[in-house]
Amino acid sequence: MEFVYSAKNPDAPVAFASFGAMHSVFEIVVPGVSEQEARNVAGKAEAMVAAVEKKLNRHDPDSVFSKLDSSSGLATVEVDDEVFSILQFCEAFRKSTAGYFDIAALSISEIRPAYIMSPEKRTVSLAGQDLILDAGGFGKGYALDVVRSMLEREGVDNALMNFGDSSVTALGHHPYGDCWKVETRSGGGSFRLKGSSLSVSGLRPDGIAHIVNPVDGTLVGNRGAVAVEGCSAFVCEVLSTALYAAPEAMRQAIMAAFGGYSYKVIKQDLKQWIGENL
Amino acid sequence: MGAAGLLMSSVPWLKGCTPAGQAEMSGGKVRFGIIGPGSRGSFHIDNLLKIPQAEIVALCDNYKANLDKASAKVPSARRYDDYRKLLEDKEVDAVIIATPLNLHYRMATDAFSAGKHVFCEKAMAYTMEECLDMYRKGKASGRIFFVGQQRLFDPKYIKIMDSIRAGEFGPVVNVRNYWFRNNDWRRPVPSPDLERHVNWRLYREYSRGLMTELACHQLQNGTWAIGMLPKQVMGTGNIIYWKDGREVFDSVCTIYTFPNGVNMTFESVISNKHYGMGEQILCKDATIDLVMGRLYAENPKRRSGIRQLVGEIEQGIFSSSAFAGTSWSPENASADPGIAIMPEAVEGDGSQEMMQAFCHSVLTGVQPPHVLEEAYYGSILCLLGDEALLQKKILEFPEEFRLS
Repeated sequence: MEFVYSAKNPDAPVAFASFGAMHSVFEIVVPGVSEQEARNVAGKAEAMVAAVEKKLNRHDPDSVFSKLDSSSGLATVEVDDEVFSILQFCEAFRKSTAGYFDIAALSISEIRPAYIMSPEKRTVSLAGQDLILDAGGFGKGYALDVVRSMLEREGVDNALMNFGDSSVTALGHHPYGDCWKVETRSGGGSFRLKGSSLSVSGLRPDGIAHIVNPVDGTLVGNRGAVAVEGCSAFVCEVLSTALYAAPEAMRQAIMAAFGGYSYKVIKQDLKQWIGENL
Repeated sequence: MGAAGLLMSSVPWLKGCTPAGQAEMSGGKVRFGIIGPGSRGSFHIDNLLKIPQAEIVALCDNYKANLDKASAKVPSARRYDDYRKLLEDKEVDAVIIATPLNLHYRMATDAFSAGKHVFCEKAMAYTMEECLDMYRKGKASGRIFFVGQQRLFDPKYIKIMDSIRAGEFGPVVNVRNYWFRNNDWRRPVPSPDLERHVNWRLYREYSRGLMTELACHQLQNGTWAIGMLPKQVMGTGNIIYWKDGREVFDSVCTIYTFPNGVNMTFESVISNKHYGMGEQILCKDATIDLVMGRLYAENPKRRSGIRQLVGEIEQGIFSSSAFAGTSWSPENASADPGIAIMPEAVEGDGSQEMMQAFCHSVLTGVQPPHVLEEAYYGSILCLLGDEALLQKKILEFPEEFRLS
């Protein structure tokens, strides 16, 4: 882990920590705490994100997702309360986004729901063959929520977290402002986060499409980035993924089911870009 | 229609794709004869079948297999095995010529003589002399004459070329074109006696190889972006891998130099496809990747990541921090993500718009400005390049082929 602590400004000491996770980078800025407190919460954050990754990473043979994916629909896998809860949420999100958020989007099979859950036995099994469950569309957001809860328990009032350049979560405010101001590299102006999260979905930074439309199985091309703001980073990431894949006409209807969340489509105009960069 | 309609103000040749252009064509019908409905010809048939103002009434090929396939798509079309018979067909208004390169000149000039409008695949003709004569005869005929340079009709290209020409990215300092494939460029041959007929692209009698089949599209980018013609070309071409009896190069590298000293390269190898196809305009302040449809600033506005909040908080600054990301290394390729040239995905490569524009021109009787001239120079440049490869010399642009 990279850890930096600065007390150069006696009014606002600040810590920064960064570590790799989920094939990406997690970063956190915590102002106004001692170095020891900062090291403590950074270490806990790293351990918690690693624990989440261990459960959700389908490429890790010990993960529940991997066990399910390799079972070809034949095995029943026991899961802990946390994974059970995540899978319940994911299915609820699939239904409430008209299928545009779907953790089985990479599957060949069109069977939905893609998995069967047994609340009594706390087990899950796939609903058929050729089904793959992938946490890529929500894992970082979920991990941010987990870390945020930890920070609140630890008494941290102000912090900003960035996970993979696609999701950020803010606690409290910047030491010299009433919020945390963030913007996306794709433009679209600033977002003033006050105890809220922001998630952005779009093309990869190199312009390559990577989000699969669960409804027709195609890669979603350039539609402008979709940014979603709201309390939970988990929900923001779910919604930004779903809204990016969904047709424009569907977006309002999907958002109607998620009170307290708002979205913005960022389509950077060529002339605007020239004005900003040249 | 897509984004093409938005660009009409600067590009008159796309008028056929606008609502106004559609209205001008209302009720009209262009009756097409397809000469050479093989691979590319079949692609044009598919596009024409989507255009309400187009009707395919005749098909011609001396290779029965291709003719049968085309007939299956358009059963009502009359069949010919001699293009001259098709040209005698009074119900044919316009012809599409998608035959081997060496036949373009004769077929197109015969078509003008028969009073037909002509859409001819690129390259325009086998020699520069033929191109010039074809251009003059087309103009003199008063018929509509298009050559299949579809990039001229691709909304992404049109949009960005306007900005380049307006100097919005600083002067053009280099143009890079490349086309890499990894296959033998052969088509299946049902019997050995049809080898040269089917695989005409591999033999000098019919084709100028990579220069006329691939470079022709890309060399246009330089003249379009810079607004002038190169003054010289040099290069080298060899058969380095596919030593199977073919006569055209399977590896070429050419450099075209403009009067202001700016270079444009075209490179092609068909035994390695890692880099695929690329068309890049390098300007002083930005780089345009035409194939990817993206634009990159030389010195993009630096957006602070959240790591830099530490330094800002130290100084008591409250600013907007972007999602962190790109790192800058001066001598490495930039990792700047750039932006898409078009805000929305644009399907296709301009081929559909090109056919629609051709129909519009035939029905309105108006040849759009520049389209033929751009295509003519694209063909002249690829042929001049092939001459430089064959002669192993630096060749000056021949003034006699400059249009007055």
